[in-house]
Amino acid sequence: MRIFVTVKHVPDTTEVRFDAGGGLLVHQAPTKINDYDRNALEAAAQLRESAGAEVVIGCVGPPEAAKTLKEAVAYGADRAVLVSGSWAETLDSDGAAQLLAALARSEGPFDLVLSGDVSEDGYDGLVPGLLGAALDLPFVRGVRALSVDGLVAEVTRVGDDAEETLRVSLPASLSVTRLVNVPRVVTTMQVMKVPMSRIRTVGAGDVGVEEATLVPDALAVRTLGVRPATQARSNEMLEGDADAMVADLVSRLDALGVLS
Amino acid sequence: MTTLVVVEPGLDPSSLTELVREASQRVVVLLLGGSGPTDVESDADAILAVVGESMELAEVAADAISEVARGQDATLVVLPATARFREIFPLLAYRLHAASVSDVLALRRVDGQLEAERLLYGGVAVATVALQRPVAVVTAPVARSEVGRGTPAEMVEVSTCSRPAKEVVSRRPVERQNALPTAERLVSFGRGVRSRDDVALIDELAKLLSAEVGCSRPIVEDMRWLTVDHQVGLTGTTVTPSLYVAIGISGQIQHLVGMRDSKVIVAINSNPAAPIFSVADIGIVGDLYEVVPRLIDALAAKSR
Repeated sequence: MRIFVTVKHVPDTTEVRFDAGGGLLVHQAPTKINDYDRNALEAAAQLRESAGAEVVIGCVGPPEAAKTLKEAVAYGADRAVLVSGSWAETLDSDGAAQLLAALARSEGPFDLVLSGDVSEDGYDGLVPGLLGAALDLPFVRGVRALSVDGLVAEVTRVGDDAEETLRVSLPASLSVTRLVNVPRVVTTMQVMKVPMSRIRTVGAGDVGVEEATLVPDALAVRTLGVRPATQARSNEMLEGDADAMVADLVSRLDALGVLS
Repeated sequence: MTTLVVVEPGLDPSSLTELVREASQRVVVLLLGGSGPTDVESDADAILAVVGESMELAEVAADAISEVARGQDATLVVLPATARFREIFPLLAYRLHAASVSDVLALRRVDGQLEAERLLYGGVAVATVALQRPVAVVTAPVARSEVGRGTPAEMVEVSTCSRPAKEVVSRRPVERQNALPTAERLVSFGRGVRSRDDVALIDELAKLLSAEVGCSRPIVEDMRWLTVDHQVGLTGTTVTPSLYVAIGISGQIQHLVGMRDSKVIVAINSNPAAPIFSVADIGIVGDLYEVVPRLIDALAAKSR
Protein backbone atom coordinates (compact mmCIF):
# COMPACT_ATOMS: atom_id res chain seq x y z
CA MET A 1 0.00 0.00 0.00
CA ARG A 2 1.24 3.51 -0.86
CA ILE A 3 -0.01 6.63 0.92
CA PHE A 4 0.40 10.27 -0.10
CA VAL A 5 0.02 12.74 2.78
CA THR A 6 -0.23 16.47 2.17
CA VAL A 7 1.35 18.84 4.67
CA LYS A 8 1.20 22.63 4.84
CA HIS A 9 3.83 24.85 6.43
CA VAL A 10 1.85 27.65 8.12
CA PRO A 11 2.49 30.69 10.31
CA ASP A 12 1.32 30.31 13.89
CA THR A 13 -1.85 32.37 13.42
CA THR A 14 -2.06 33.25 17.11
CA GLU A 15 1.17 35.23 16.59
CA VAL A 16 0.22 37.11 13.41
CA ARG A 17 0.06 40.85 14.12
CA PHE A 18 -0.31 44.15 12.32
CA ASP A 19 2.04 47.07 12.79
CA ALA A 20 0.71 50.52 13.69
CA GLY A 21 0.28 51.40 10.00
CA GLY A 22 -1.89 48.35 9.32
CA GLY A 23 0.95 46.40 7.69
CA LEU A 24 0.81 42.65 8.19
CA LEU A 25 3.67 41.21 10.24
CA VAL A 26 3.15 37.62 9.12
CA HIS A 27 6.86 36.99 8.53
CA GLN A 28 7.64 37.60 12.18
CA ALA A 29 5.26 34.87 13.29
CA PRO A 30 6.81 31.48 14.09
CA THR A 31 5.97 28.71 11.61
CA LYS A 32 4.72 25.18 12.20
CA ILE A 33 3.04 22.13 10.65
CA ASN A 34 -0.65 22.79 10.12
CA ASP A 35 -2.32 21.09 13.12
CA TYR A 36 -4.85 19.18 11.00
CA ASP A 37 -2.02 17.68 8.95
CA ARG A 38 -0.56 16.12 12.12
CA ASN A 39 -3.68 13.97 12.27
CA ALA A 40 -3.28 12.99 8.62
CA LEU A 41 0.38 12.11 9.33
CA GLU A 42 -0.64 10.08 12.38
CA ALA A 43 -3.28 8.17 10.37
CA ALA A 44 -0.67 7.38 7.70
CA ALA A 45 1.91 6.35 10.31
CA GLN A 46 -0.59 3.96 11.90
CA LEU A 47 -1.33 2.33 8.53
CA ARG A 48 2.40 2.12 7.85
CA GLU A 49 2.89 0.28 11.12
CA SER A 50 -0.13 -2.03 10.80
CA ALA A 51 -0.18 -2.72 7.07
CA GLY A 52 3.36 -1.92 5.98
CA ALA A 53 2.43 1.08 3.86
CA GLU A 54 4.95 3.35 2.18
CA VAL A 55 4.26 6.96 3.15
CA VAL A 56 5.31 9.88 0.94
CA ILE A 57 4.65 13.45 2.10
CA GLY A 58 3.84 16.16 -0.42
CA CYS A 59 4.11 19.86 0.34
CA VAL A 60 3.82 23.08 -1.64
CA GLY A 61 5.45 26.07 -0.02
CA PRO A 62 8.46 28.31 0.49
CA PRO A 63 11.99 26.80 0.80
CA GLU A 64 11.77 27.11 4.64
CA ALA A 65 9.02 24.48 4.56
CA ALA A 66 11.81 21.86 4.35
CA LYS A 67 12.23 22.39 8.10
CA THR A 68 8.56 21.58 8.69
CA LEU A 69 8.89 18.49 6.48
CA LYS A 70 11.74 17.17 8.62
CA GLU A 71 9.34 17.18 11.54
CA ALA A 72 6.57 15.68 9.37
CA VAL A 73 8.80 12.76 8.32
CA ALA A 74 9.55 12.09 11.99
CA TYR A 75 5.88 11.16 12.53
CA GLY A 76 6.56 8.01 10.56
CA ALA A 77 6.92 8.66 6.84
CA ASP A 78 9.45 7.34 4.34
CA ARG A 79 10.24 10.64 2.67
CA ALA A 80 8.92 14.05 1.70
CA VAL A 81 8.92 16.15 -1.44
CA LEU A 82 8.60 19.94 -1.34
CA VAL A 83 7.51 21.81 -4.46
CA SER A 84 8.87 25.31 -4.09
CA GLY A 85 9.48 28.46 -6.07
CA SER A 86 9.31 32.23 -5.98
CA TRP A 87 5.54 31.95 -6.64
CA ALA A 88 4.92 30.14 -3.33
CA GLU A 89 4.09 33.20 -1.25
CA THR A 90 1.18 34.41 -3.39
CA LEU A 91 -0.15 31.02 -4.48
CA ASP A 92 -3.90 30.25 -4.19
CA SER A 93 -5.58 26.98 -3.20
CA ASP A 94 -6.23 26.07 -6.81
CA GLY A 95 -2.54 26.37 -7.70
CA ALA A 96 -1.49 24.43 -4.61
CA ALA A 97 -3.91 21.61 -5.46
CA GLN A 98 -2.71 21.55 -9.06
CA LEU A 99 0.93 21.21 -7.94
CA LEU A 100 0.08 18.53 -5.35
CA ALA A 101 -1.86 16.58 -7.99
CA ALA A 102 1.08 16.79 -10.39
CA LEU A 103 3.44 15.67 -7.63
CA ALA A 104 1.16 12.77 -6.64
CA ARG A 105 1.06 11.67 -10.27
CA SER A 106 4.84 11.79 -10.67
CA GLU A 107 5.46 9.97 -7.35
CA GLY A 108 2.44 7.67 -7.70
CA PRO A 109 0.37 5.71 -8.05
CA PHE A 110 -1.00 5.94 -4.51
CA ASP A 111 -3.76 3.90 -2.89
CA LEU A 112 -4.68 6.60 -0.40
CA VAL A 113 -4.34 10.39 -0.35
CA LEU A 114 -4.65 11.86 3.16
CA SER A 115 -4.96 15.54 4.05
CA GLY A 116 -6.07 17.63 7.02
CA ASP A 117 -9.58 19.09 6.57
CA VAL A 118 -8.36 22.70 6.52
CA SER A 119 -5.23 24.78 7.03
CA GLU A 120 -4.98 27.11 10.00
CA ASP A 121 -3.94 30.17 8.00
CA GLY A 122 -6.35 30.22 5.06
CA TYR A 123 -9.03 27.93 6.45
CA ASP A 124 -10.81 27.46 3.13
CA GLY A 125 -10.68 23.65 3.09
CA LEU A 126 -10.43 23.61 -0.71
CA VAL A 127 -7.15 21.85 -1.40
CA PRO A 128 -8.07 18.27 -0.31
CA GLY A 129 -11.21 18.18 -2.48
CA LEU A 130 -9.57 19.92 -5.45
CA LEU A 131 -6.73 17.40 -5.19
CA GLY A 132 -9.12 14.44 -5.03
CA ALA A 133 -11.05 15.78 -8.03
CA ALA A 134 -7.87 16.42 -10.03
CA LEU A 135 -6.71 12.85 -9.38
CA ASP A 136 -10.23 11.58 -10.21
CA LEU A 137 -10.51 9.83 -6.84
CA PRO A 138 -13.59 9.48 -4.66
CA PHE A 139 -13.36 12.10 -1.90
CA VAL A 140 -14.64 12.21 1.67
CA ARG A 141 -14.24 15.25 3.90
CA GLY A 142 -14.50 15.49 7.69
CA VAL A 143 -13.28 11.98 8.45
CA ARG A 144 -13.28 11.30 12.19
CA ALA A 145 -12.75 7.52 12.13
CA LEU A 146 -10.83 5.55 9.54
CA SER A 147 -10.06 1.88 8.98
CA VAL A 148 -8.60 0.25 5.90
CA ASP A 149 -9.20 -3.37 5.00
CA GLY A 150 -7.54 -4.45 1.80
CA LEU A 151 -8.74 -2.15 -0.93
CA VAL A 152 -11.65 -0.62 0.98
CA ALA A 153 -11.59 2.22 3.51
CA GLU A 154 -14.41 2.57 5.98
CA VAL A 155 -14.80 6.11 7.26
CA THR A 156 -17.12 7.86 9.68
CA ARG A 157 -17.96 11.52 9.60
CA VAL A 158 -20.52 13.78 11.22
CA GLY A 159 -22.61 15.80 8.80
CA ASP A 160 -25.08 18.58 9.51
CA ASP A 161 -27.57 16.37 11.30
CA ALA A 162 -26.31 12.79 11.09
CA GLU A 163 -23.33 10.58 11.64
CA GLU A 164 -22.52 8.68 8.47
CA THR A 165 -20.35 5.68 7.77
CA LEU A 166 -19.14 5.35 4.20
CA ARG A 167 -17.34 2.57 2.40
CA VAL A 168 -14.87 3.93 -0.13
CA SER A 169 -12.97 1.87 -2.68
CA LEU A 170 -9.27 2.63 -2.90
CA PRO A 171 -7.63 4.52 -4.41
CA ALA A 172 -9.37 7.37 -2.60
CA SER A 173 -8.75 10.85 -1.23
CA LEU A 174 -9.75 11.61 2.36
CA SER A 175 -9.43 14.68 4.55
CA VAL A 176 -9.44 14.18 8.30
CA THR A 177 -10.57 16.15 11.34
CA ARG A 178 -8.66 16.58 14.57
CA LEU A 179 -10.84 13.85 16.12
CA VAL A 180 -9.63 11.03 13.87
CA ASN A 181 -6.74 10.19 16.24
CA VAL A 182 -4.36 11.68 18.78
CA PRO A 183 -1.09 12.52 17.01
CA ARG A 184 1.99 11.03 18.65
CA VAL A 185 4.47 13.32 20.35
CA VAL A 186 7.52 13.78 18.17
CA THR A 187 10.64 14.74 20.14
CA THR A 188 13.30 17.22 19.01
CA MET A 189 15.74 14.32 19.00
CA GLN A 190 13.53 12.31 16.62
CA VAL A 191 13.26 15.33 14.31
CA MET A 192 17.05 15.85 14.39
CA LYS A 193 17.63 12.22 13.45
CA VAL A 194 15.68 12.57 10.19
CA PRO A 195 18.37 12.86 7.50
CA MET A 196 17.88 15.77 5.10
CA SER A 197 18.34 13.23 2.29
CA ARG A 198 14.76 12.10 2.92
CA ILE A 199 13.49 15.56 2.01
CA ARG A 200 13.73 16.57 -1.62
CA THR A 201 12.94 20.03 -2.97
CA VAL A 202 11.79 20.35 -6.57
CA GLY A 203 10.49 23.17 -8.78
CA ALA A 204 7.10 23.44 -10.48
CA GLY A 205 8.67 22.50 -13.81
CA ASP A 206 9.98 19.25 -12.30
CA VAL A 207 6.39 18.06 -11.79
CA GLY A 208 5.25 19.38 -15.16
CA VAL A 209 3.55 22.61 -14.12
CA GLU A 210 4.53 25.80 -15.93
CA GLU A 211 5.68 28.55 -13.56
CA ALA A 212 3.87 31.11 -15.71
CA THR A 213 0.54 29.64 -14.54
CA LEU A 214 1.45 30.30 -10.90
CA VAL A 215 2.13 34.04 -11.00
CA PRO A 216 -0.55 36.25 -9.36
CA ASP A 217 -2.14 37.44 -12.63
CA ALA A 218 -2.61 33.86 -13.83
CA LEU A 219 -4.11 32.47 -10.62
CA ALA A 220 -7.79 31.70 -10.06
CA VAL A 221 -7.74 33.83 -6.91
CA ARG A 222 -5.34 36.74 -6.46
CA THR A 223 -4.97 38.48 -3.12
CA LEU A 224 -5.33 42.24 -3.59
CA GLY A 225 -4.80 43.30 -0.01
CA VAL A 226 -4.95 42.33 3.63
CA ARG A 227 -6.11 44.65 6.40
CA PRO A 228 -6.76 44.28 10.13
CA ALA A 229 -10.19 42.83 10.85
CA THR A 230 -12.42 45.39 12.46
CA GLN A 231 -16.11 45.17 12.95
CA ALA A 232 -18.89 47.66 13.23
CA ARG A 233 -18.81 47.05 16.97
CA SER A 234 -18.31 49.49 19.76
CA ASN A 235 -15.23 47.63 21.11
CA GLU A 236 -15.67 49.30 24.47
CA MET A 237 -12.93 48.10 26.78
CA LEU A 238 -13.90 48.33 30.43
CA GLU A 239 -11.45 49.74 32.92
CA GLY A 240 -10.69 49.47 36.60
CA ASP A 241 -10.21 46.45 38.84
CA ALA A 242 -12.16 43.22 38.42
CA ASP A 243 -14.96 44.36 40.75
CA ALA A 244 -15.40 47.66 38.93
CA MET A 245 -15.38 46.04 35.48
CA VAL A 246 -17.94 43.43 36.51
CA ALA A 247 -20.26 46.06 38.01
CA ASP A 248 -19.90 48.16 34.85
CA LEU A 249 -20.59 45.11 32.66
CA VAL A 250 -23.76 44.13 34.52
CA SER A 251 -25.19 47.64 34.36
CA ARG A 252 -24.39 47.94 30.63
CA LEU A 253 -26.00 44.57 29.85
CA ASP A 254 -29.01 45.57 31.92
CA ALA A 255 -29.31 48.82 29.98
CA LEU A 256 -29.04 46.95 26.68
CA GLY A 257 -31.90 44.73 27.80
CA VAL A 258 -30.10 41.46 27.09
CA LEU A 259 -30.29 40.00 30.60
CA SER A 260 -33.15 37.65 31.34
CA MET B 1 -24.71 37.91 -15.02
CA THR B 2 -26.73 35.05 -13.54
CA THR B 3 -25.97 33.85 -10.03
CA LEU B 4 -27.00 30.41 -8.86
CA VAL B 5 -27.74 30.19 -5.13
CA VAL B 6 -27.84 26.57 -3.99
CA VAL B 7 -29.61 25.38 -0.83
CA GLU B 8 -31.19 22.20 0.43
CA PRO B 9 -34.59 21.80 2.12
CA GLY B 10 -34.43 23.39 5.58
CA LEU B 11 -31.94 26.13 4.64
CA ASP B 12 -33.04 29.72 4.15
CA PRO B 13 -31.45 31.19 0.97
CA SER B 14 -32.08 34.83 1.97
CA SER B 15 -28.61 35.56 3.43
CA LEU B 16 -27.06 34.22 0.23
CA THR B 17 -29.35 36.07 -2.19
CA GLU B 18 -28.70 39.24 -0.14
CA LEU B 19 -24.93 38.73 -0.41
CA VAL B 20 -24.95 38.44 -4.21
CA ARG B 21 -27.66 40.97 -5.09
CA GLU B 22 -25.34 43.81 -6.10
CA ALA B 23 -23.01 41.55 -8.04
CA SER B 24 -25.79 39.83 -10.03
CA GLN B 25 -28.37 40.80 -12.65
CA ARG B 26 -30.41 37.64 -12.18
CA VAL B 27 -30.55 35.33 -9.18
CA VAL B 28 -31.70 31.73 -9.47
CA VAL B 29 -32.22 29.59 -6.39
CA LEU B 30 -31.52 25.88 -6.81
CA LEU B 31 -32.88 23.47 -4.24
CA LEU B 32 -30.70 20.39 -4.07
CA GLY B 33 -32.67 17.17 -3.95
CA GLY B 34 -34.31 15.27 -1.22
CA SER B 35 -37.50 13.31 -1.02
CA GLY B 36 -39.32 16.03 0.94
CA PRO B 37 -41.11 19.20 -0.20
CA THR B 38 -39.41 21.43 -2.74
CA ASP B 39 -40.80 24.77 -1.60
CA VAL B 40 -38.54 27.73 -1.00
CA GLU B 41 -39.32 31.15 0.39
CA SER B 42 -37.30 33.55 -1.74
CA ASP B 43 -37.55 36.67 -3.88
CA ALA B 44 -35.19 35.20 -6.48
CA ASP B 45 -35.96 35.50 -10.21
CA ALA B 46 -36.42 31.74 -10.52
CA ILE B 47 -36.61 28.80 -8.16
CA LEU B 48 -35.48 25.44 -9.45
CA ALA B 49 -35.12 22.04 -7.83
CA VAL B 50 -33.07 19.07 -8.83
CA VAL B 51 -33.64 15.61 -7.42
CA GLY B 52 -31.92 12.40 -8.31
CA GLU B 53 -30.42 9.19 -7.10
CA SER B 54 -27.33 9.16 -4.89
CA MET B 55 -27.52 12.94 -4.47
CA GLU B 56 -26.14 12.42 -0.94
CA LEU B 57 -22.78 11.68 -2.55
CA ALA B 58 -20.81 14.90 -3.06
CA GLU B 59 -19.55 13.90 -6.51
CA VAL B 60 -23.10 13.31 -7.79
CA ALA B 61 -24.34 16.57 -6.27
CA ALA B 62 -21.39 18.48 -7.76
CA ASP B 63 -22.21 17.02 -11.21
CA ALA B 64 -25.86 18.05 -10.90
CA ILE B 65 -25.09 21.58 -9.71
CA SER B 66 -22.46 22.12 -12.40
CA GLU B 67 -24.91 20.98 -15.09
CA VAL B 68 -27.59 23.40 -13.87
CA ALA B 69 -24.99 26.19 -13.53
CA ARG B 70 -23.91 25.70 -17.15
CA GLY B 71 -27.52 25.48 -18.34
CA GLN B 72 -28.28 28.78 -16.59
CA ASP B 73 -25.07 30.43 -17.84
CA ALA B 74 -24.22 31.21 -14.23
CA THR B 75 -21.02 33.14 -13.67
CA LEU B 76 -21.32 32.85 -9.88
CA VAL B 77 -22.46 29.92 -7.74
CA VAL B 78 -23.05 30.39 -4.01
CA LEU B 79 -23.15 27.45 -1.61
CA PRO B 80 -24.15 27.41 2.07
CA ALA B 81 -21.23 26.93 4.47
CA THR B 82 -22.64 23.70 5.95
CA ALA B 83 -20.88 20.33 6.31
CA ARG B 84 -22.64 18.86 3.26
CA PHE B 85 -21.84 21.77 0.98
CA ARG B 86 -18.26 22.17 2.22
CA GLU B 87 -17.59 18.74 0.74
CA ILE B 88 -19.36 19.55 -2.53
CA PHE B 89 -17.59 22.96 -2.78
CA PRO B 90 -14.12 21.93 -4.08
CA LEU B 91 -15.59 19.23 -6.33
CA LEU B 92 -17.92 21.77 -7.93
CA ALA B 93 -15.12 24.34 -8.23
CA TYR B 94 -13.00 21.76 -10.06
CA ARG B 95 -15.83 20.83 -12.45
CA LEU B 96 -16.54 24.47 -13.32
CA HIS B 97 -12.83 25.38 -13.46
CA ALA B 98 -13.88 28.17 -11.13
CA ALA B 99 -12.18 30.70 -8.90
CA SER B 100 -13.32 29.65 -5.44
CA VAL B 101 -13.42 31.46 -2.12
CA SER B 102 -14.91 30.16 1.11
CA ASP B 103 -16.83 31.97 3.85
CA VAL B 104 -17.06 35.29 2.06
CA LEU B 105 -18.06 38.37 4.04
CA ALA B 106 -18.75 40.59 1.02
CA LEU B 107 -18.90 40.38 -2.77
CA ARG B 108 -18.77 43.12 -5.39
CA ARG B 109 -17.92 43.69 -9.02
CA VAL B 110 -15.13 46.13 -9.78
CA ASP B 111 -14.80 46.93 -13.51
CA GLY B 112 -16.60 43.69 -14.28
CA GLN B 113 -14.31 41.58 -12.09
CA LEU B 114 -15.65 39.89 -9.01
CA GLU B 115 -13.94 40.74 -5.71
CA ALA B 116 -14.56 39.05 -2.37
CA GLU B 117 -13.60 39.64 1.24
CA ARG B 118 -12.82 36.88 3.70
CA LEU B 119 -11.11 36.42 7.04
CA LEU B 120 -7.52 35.21 7.17
CA TYR B 121 -4.92 34.17 9.76
CA GLY B 122 -7.31 33.09 12.46
CA GLY B 123 -9.57 36.12 12.13
CA VAL B 124 -7.07 38.93 12.72
CA ALA B 125 -7.06 39.92 9.05
CA VAL B 126 -9.51 40.51 6.22
CA ALA B 127 -8.24 39.66 2.75
CA THR B 128 -9.64 41.22 -0.41
CA VAL B 129 -9.27 38.85 -3.34
CA ALA B 130 -9.93 39.04 -7.08
CA LEU B 131 -11.71 36.07 -8.65
CA GLN B 132 -9.91 35.77 -11.98
CA ARG B 133 -11.84 33.04 -13.77
CA PRO B 134 -15.04 33.35 -15.88
CA VAL B 135 -16.94 31.39 -13.22
CA ALA B 136 -16.70 31.76 -9.43
CA VAL B 137 -17.91 29.49 -6.63
CA VAL B 138 -18.15 30.80 -3.06
CA THR B 139 -19.57 29.68 0.28
CA ALA B 140 -21.28 31.82 2.93
CA PRO B 141 -23.18 31.19 6.18
CA VAL B 142 -26.92 30.51 6.08
CA ALA B 143 -29.73 30.24 8.59
CA ARG B 144 -32.14 27.32 8.82
CA SER B 145 -35.77 27.72 7.80
CA GLU B 146 -38.98 25.79 7.99
CA VAL B 147 -39.47 23.17 5.32
CA GLY B 148 -42.53 23.20 3.12
CA ARG B 149 -43.62 26.81 2.72
CA GLY B 150 -43.02 29.33 0.02
CA THR B 151 -42.96 28.91 -3.72
CA PRO B 152 -42.92 25.41 -5.18
CA ALA B 153 -39.77 24.98 -7.21
CA GLU B 154 -39.66 24.12 -10.88
CA MET B 155 -38.08 20.69 -11.34
CA VAL B 156 -35.07 20.44 -13.63
CA GLU B 157 -33.66 17.26 -15.08
CA VAL B 158 -29.97 16.52 -15.08
CA SER B 159 -28.29 13.93 -17.22
CA THR B 160 -24.91 13.52 -15.59
CA CYS B 161 -24.43 10.50 -13.40
CA SER B 162 -21.04 10.14 -11.78
CA ARG B 163 -20.62 6.83 -10.05
CA PRO B 164 -18.06 7.52 -7.37
CA ALA B 165 -16.53 4.42 -5.82
CA LYS B 166 -18.13 5.04 -2.46
CA GLU B 167 -21.41 4.37 -0.69
CA VAL B 168 -23.09 5.41 2.53
CA VAL B 169 -23.46 2.21 4.56
CA SER B 170 -25.09 3.67 7.65
CA ARG B 171 -26.62 6.94 8.72
CA ARG B 172 -27.55 7.75 12.28
CA PRO B 173 -29.33 11.03 13.02
CA VAL B 174 -27.41 12.98 15.65
CA GLU B 175 -29.68 14.39 18.32
CA ARG B 176 -28.55 17.77 19.47
CA GLN B 177 -28.13 17.90 23.24
CA ASN B 178 -28.74 21.64 23.45
CA ALA B 179 -30.52 24.55 21.78
CA LEU B 180 -27.42 26.38 20.51
CA PRO B 181 -28.81 27.46 17.10
CA THR B 182 -31.85 29.16 18.64
CA ALA B 183 -30.40 30.20 22.03
CA GLU B 184 -31.32 33.69 23.19
CA ARG B 185 -28.21 33.89 25.39
CA LEU B 186 -24.97 31.96 25.11
CA VAL B 187 -21.94 31.62 27.37
CA SER B 188 -19.03 30.21 25.43
CA PHE B 189 -15.56 29.27 26.65
CA GLY B 190 -12.19 28.38 25.19
CA ARG B 191 -8.68 27.35 26.11
CA GLY B 192 -8.47 30.01 28.79
CA VAL B 193 -10.35 27.59 31.04
CA ARG B 194 -7.54 25.55 32.53
CA SER B 195 -9.17 22.35 33.71
CA ARG B 196 -12.25 20.30 33.08
CA ASP B 197 -13.43 20.90 36.65
CA ASP B 198 -13.48 24.63 35.99
CA VAL B 199 -16.23 24.19 33.38
CA ALA B 200 -18.55 24.17 36.41
CA LEU B 201 -17.84 27.90 36.71
CA ILE B 202 -19.05 28.45 33.13
CA ASP B 203 -22.12 26.27 33.77
CA GLU B 204 -22.98 28.31 36.85
CA LEU B 205 -22.72 31.60 34.96
CA ALA B 206 -24.83 30.17 32.12
CA LYS B 207 -27.49 29.05 34.56
CA LEU B 208 -27.73 32.52 36.09
CA LEU B 209 -28.09 34.07 32.63
CA SER B 210 -30.53 31.36 31.43
CA ALA B 211 -27.97 30.78 28.71
CA GLU B 212 -26.81 27.75 26.74
CA VAL B 213 -23.14 26.71 27.01
CA GLY B 214 -20.99 26.77 23.91
CA CYS B 215 -17.26 26.46 23.34
CA SER B 216 -14.47 26.96 20.83
CA ARG B 217 -12.91 24.26 18.69
CA PRO B 218 -9.97 23.26 20.98
CA ILE B 219 -12.40 22.39 23.78
CA VAL B 220 -13.96 19.74 21.53
CA GLU B 221 -11.01 18.69 19.39
CA ASP B 222 -7.99 19.00 21.69
CA MET B 223 -9.38 18.82 25.21
CA ARG B 224 -12.43 16.70 24.28
CA TRP B 225 -14.37 18.10 27.25
CA LEU B 226 -17.60 18.76 25.31
CA THR B 227 -19.29 17.17 22.30
CA VAL B 228 -19.23 18.86 18.91
CA ASP B 229 -22.84 20.10 19.24
CA HIS B 230 -21.48 22.64 21.76
CA GLN B 231 -18.89 23.95 19.31
CA VAL B 232 -19.52 27.42 17.90
CA GLY B 233 -17.89 28.16 14.57
CA LEU B 234 -17.15 26.91 11.10
CA THR B 235 -17.01 23.22 11.91
CA GLY B 236 -19.60 23.64 14.63
CA THR B 237 -22.78 25.67 14.86
CA THR B 238 -23.49 29.21 13.66
CA VAL B 239 -25.27 31.15 16.39
CA THR B 240 -27.03 34.52 16.55
CA PRO B 241 -28.09 35.05 20.20
CA SER B 242 -28.95 38.46 21.60
CA LEU B 243 -26.12 38.03 24.15
CA TYR B 244 -22.89 36.15 23.48
CA VAL B 245 -20.32 35.98 26.29
CA ALA B 246 -16.93 34.69 25.11
CA ILE B 247 -14.73 33.59 28.00
CA GLY B 248 -11.08 32.68 27.49
CA ILE B 249 -11.59 32.46 23.72
CA SER B 250 -8.84 34.04 21.59
CA GLY B 251 -11.13 34.40 18.54
CA GLN B 252 -9.77 32.29 15.70
CA ILE B 253 -11.50 32.57 12.26
CA GLN B 254 -13.13 29.26 12.93
CA HIS B 255 -14.92 30.70 15.92
CA LEU B 256 -15.60 34.28 14.78
CA VAL B 257 -17.42 33.19 11.64
CA GLY B 258 -19.88 31.27 13.79
CA MET B 259 -20.82 34.05 16.24
CA ARG B 260 -20.10 37.42 14.64
CA ASP B 261 -23.79 38.10 13.98
CA SER B 262 -24.74 37.92 17.66
CA LYS B 263 -26.52 41.08 18.85
CA VAL B 264 -24.32 41.94 21.84
CA ILE B 265 -20.89 40.34 22.19
CA VAL B 266 -18.96 40.41 25.46
CA ALA B 267 -15.35 39.17 25.53
CA ILE B 268 -13.37 38.28 28.64
CA ASN B 269 -9.73 37.43 27.94
CA SER B 270 -6.38 37.97 29.63
CA ASN B 271 -4.63 38.79 26.34
CA PRO B 272 -5.43 42.37 25.23
CA ALA B 273 -4.32 41.51 21.66
CA ALA B 274 -6.78 38.60 21.29
CA PRO B 275 -8.78 38.95 18.02
CA ILE B 276 -12.02 38.30 19.94
CA PHE B 277 -11.91 41.91 21.21
CA SER B 278 -12.17 43.21 17.63
CA VAL B 279 -15.66 41.71 17.30
CA ALA B 280 -16.78 42.53 20.84
CA ASP B 281 -19.12 45.29 21.93
CA ILE B 282 -17.80 45.13 25.47
CA GLY B 283 -14.36 43.83 26.38
CA ILE B 284 -12.81 42.94 29.72
CA VAL B 285 -9.08 42.34 29.78
CA GLY B 286 -8.58 40.20 32.81
CA ASP B 287 -8.10 36.78 34.34
CA LEU B 288 -11.33 34.85 33.88
CA TYR B 289 -10.73 33.22 37.26
CA GLU B 290 -11.05 36.66 38.82
CA VAL B 291 -13.77 38.05 36.58
CA VAL B 292 -16.21 35.15 36.23
CA PRO B 293 -16.71 34.42 39.97
CA ARG B 294 -17.40 38.14 40.53
CA LEU B 295 -19.83 38.16 37.63
CA ILE B 296 -21.60 35.14 39.11
CA ASP B 297 -21.86 36.93 42.48
CA ALA B 298 -23.13 40.12 40.85
CA LEU B 299 -25.80 38.31 38.83
CA ALA B 300 -26.84 36.18 41.81
CA ALA B 301 -27.21 39.30 43.95
CA LYS B 302 -29.23 40.98 41.20
CA SER B 303 -31.68 38.07 40.90
CA ARG B 304 -32.33 37.98 44.64
